[in-house]
Amino acid sequence: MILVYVPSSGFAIAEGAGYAGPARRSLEELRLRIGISGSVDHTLSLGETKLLTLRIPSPAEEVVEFSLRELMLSSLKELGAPVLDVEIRYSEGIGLYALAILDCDARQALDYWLEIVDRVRGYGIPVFARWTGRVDVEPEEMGVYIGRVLAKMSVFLATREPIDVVKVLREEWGF
Amino acid sequence: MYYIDTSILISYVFASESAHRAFREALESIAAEKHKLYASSFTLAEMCNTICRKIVRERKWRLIEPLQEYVDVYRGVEEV
Repeated sequence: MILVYVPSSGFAIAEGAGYAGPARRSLEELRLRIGISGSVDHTLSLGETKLLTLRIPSPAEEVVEFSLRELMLSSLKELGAPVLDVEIRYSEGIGLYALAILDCDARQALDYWLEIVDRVRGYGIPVFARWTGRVDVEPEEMGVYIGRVLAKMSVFLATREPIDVVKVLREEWGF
Repeated sequence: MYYIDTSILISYVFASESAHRAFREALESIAAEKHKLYASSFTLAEMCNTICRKIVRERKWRLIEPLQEYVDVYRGVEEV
């Protein structure tokens, strides 16, 4: 028996002729037990070959994550970025986003980040960059980089707790 | 001609500000109609000062992830 996992459609199981016993029965039991749909195709040949496909529902995000990660990785490698990995993550305020881990210092990573954003714009999710090396930029420069990147991605800053700026400014002025 | 004050600018920048949506729609509508938006250098200084004070000095505004990570990379440096 050959078991093949296909991300977009679930598992495909091919059974050889003459082996319709315990494995076949256990598959049928499995299908009944977990309530998944399936189909059996019979192809006539010298020995009867049966192809049983099972559609196992998987979370949509799992498939999206796999695809996006692969797409992002290949895009960044084409760009020449020293990318170690791409993680697909979720944040309350941003939603699904990609985190590219770059094997370089901060300045180089931030420069790449600006290019990466343009490169992966079509994928529809924001991308953030992390680096493995030194932090070789001043905080003010970091702020400028992040401002430019966020503007390119149409991502706004957000605090974890809601804020009221009028109230804050009144406090600053001592009103 | 439209003059923008500090509260509107900060509200536009922060999605978690109570009036963000209203100010965003208003500013983007004004810009789309090709009107000019003006702000004084005092307004920009006040905006930067307020944001930096709340996020860095007072640490009263914690950004959502992963944005807070970019602030936190300087925490260790600051304490040295």
